[in-house]
Amino acid sequence: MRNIILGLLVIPFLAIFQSTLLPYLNFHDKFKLDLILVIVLSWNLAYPDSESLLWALLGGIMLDALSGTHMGINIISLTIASLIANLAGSRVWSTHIILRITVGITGTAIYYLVYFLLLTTTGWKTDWANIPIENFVRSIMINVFVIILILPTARWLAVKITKRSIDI
Amino acid sequence: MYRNKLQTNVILSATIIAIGILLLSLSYSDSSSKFKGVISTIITPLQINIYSLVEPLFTNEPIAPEELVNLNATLTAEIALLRSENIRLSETIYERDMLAALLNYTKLDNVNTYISANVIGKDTSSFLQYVIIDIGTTGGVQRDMPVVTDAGLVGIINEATPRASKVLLVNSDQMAVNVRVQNSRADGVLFGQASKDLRLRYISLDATISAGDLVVTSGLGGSLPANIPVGEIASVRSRAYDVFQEAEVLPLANLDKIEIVMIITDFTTIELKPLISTPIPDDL
Repeated sequence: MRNIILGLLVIPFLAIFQSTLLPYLNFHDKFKLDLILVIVLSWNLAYPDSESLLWALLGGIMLDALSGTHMGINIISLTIASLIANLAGSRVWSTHIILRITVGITGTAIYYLVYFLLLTTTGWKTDWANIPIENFVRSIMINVFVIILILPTARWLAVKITKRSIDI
Repeated sequence: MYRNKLQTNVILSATIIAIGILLLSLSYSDSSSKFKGVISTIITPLQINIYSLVEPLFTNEPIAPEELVNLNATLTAEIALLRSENIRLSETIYERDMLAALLNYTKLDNVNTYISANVIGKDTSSFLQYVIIDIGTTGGVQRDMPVVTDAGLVGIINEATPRASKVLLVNSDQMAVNVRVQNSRADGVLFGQASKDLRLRYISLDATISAGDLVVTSGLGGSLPANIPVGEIASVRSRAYDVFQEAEVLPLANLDKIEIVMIITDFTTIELKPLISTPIPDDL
């Protein structure tokens, strides 16, 4: 429950931050950070609990509300991407840096793939030939970099909110 | 243990995806836009407050006094030039009205009613060109209304909730605007690109267009009023074996740094669909 409450407190503010502040930062012209995607992936990696998947639902709702796309597109894309992070986070070697990089790359790539497929199926005119690939690569790079940076904090937070219990 | 957890996570993910699909299928009906409207009503005040808190951080630095003196001199010279042009245009309008009266020809002047709005956010996706403004249906904004700045066309209202609206920018790859090159009077269609550039297409090979020509809305199709400046031609691609000419256009409004916009509220989009789908009478 603490996990969901934390999500309810954090996600709306970060979604507004992504919409209101990030576009005005100088680096954002070159490196566009998908803050909600990064937070959801990091959290699922740090705290691979079932409730963490609800962060994807919440993040998706917020992104869809602040975006011009149909409602539901970001929910589906984020959930699929976060499931990968959640499953990877459940492994013993989840702290390994290679895993963080892999989750960052595959999570972002799968998120965008599902996102554009859904856009196309809902009648959005996607010019596949002219999609700026360099923007994708830059997004993946910045997302991975931020995941590596914030994961220790996410882990610390995950430990703080975890109920301590002893199974006998 | 791990197997059970995996099963739970997959089931939960499938449920969330099902919710997403449900919302997606409802997005073609009113219920989804109502849901979006409710969320927007909750987050817009928060968004406005956060934006007003951080806005000073992003506003431009004050101009140095020497620069102000130079700017003043330039603007004074420009005012003198515009005054003389204004007198000449007033004479032209007078002459036009006289001739129109003689010919019994009436044409409405292109004078619009505007409401202004602040840009409080941008689309959360890096690949979509939308901005969010702090005025919605309660302020008189409706879908498809044209949005401009003092420089020119910015886009159209794509979605309006009670307190906020989303503007689809003219450089979005979802936008196509019927335009006219002012000097040559050549009609064409201006398309936004995924790379955020503007490309002018379907310009007749006979038309003489060149870099620096002003591109304005033509009003054809009835979706936008005529004579709103949109951009300036940057380069032209004209090949003898092509059917049409193409040109790269630079938007007049700085679409990356829009702070305040104006919405033309008295323009009504003309619905052309009924004309297109008129059935042919059986007796013909």
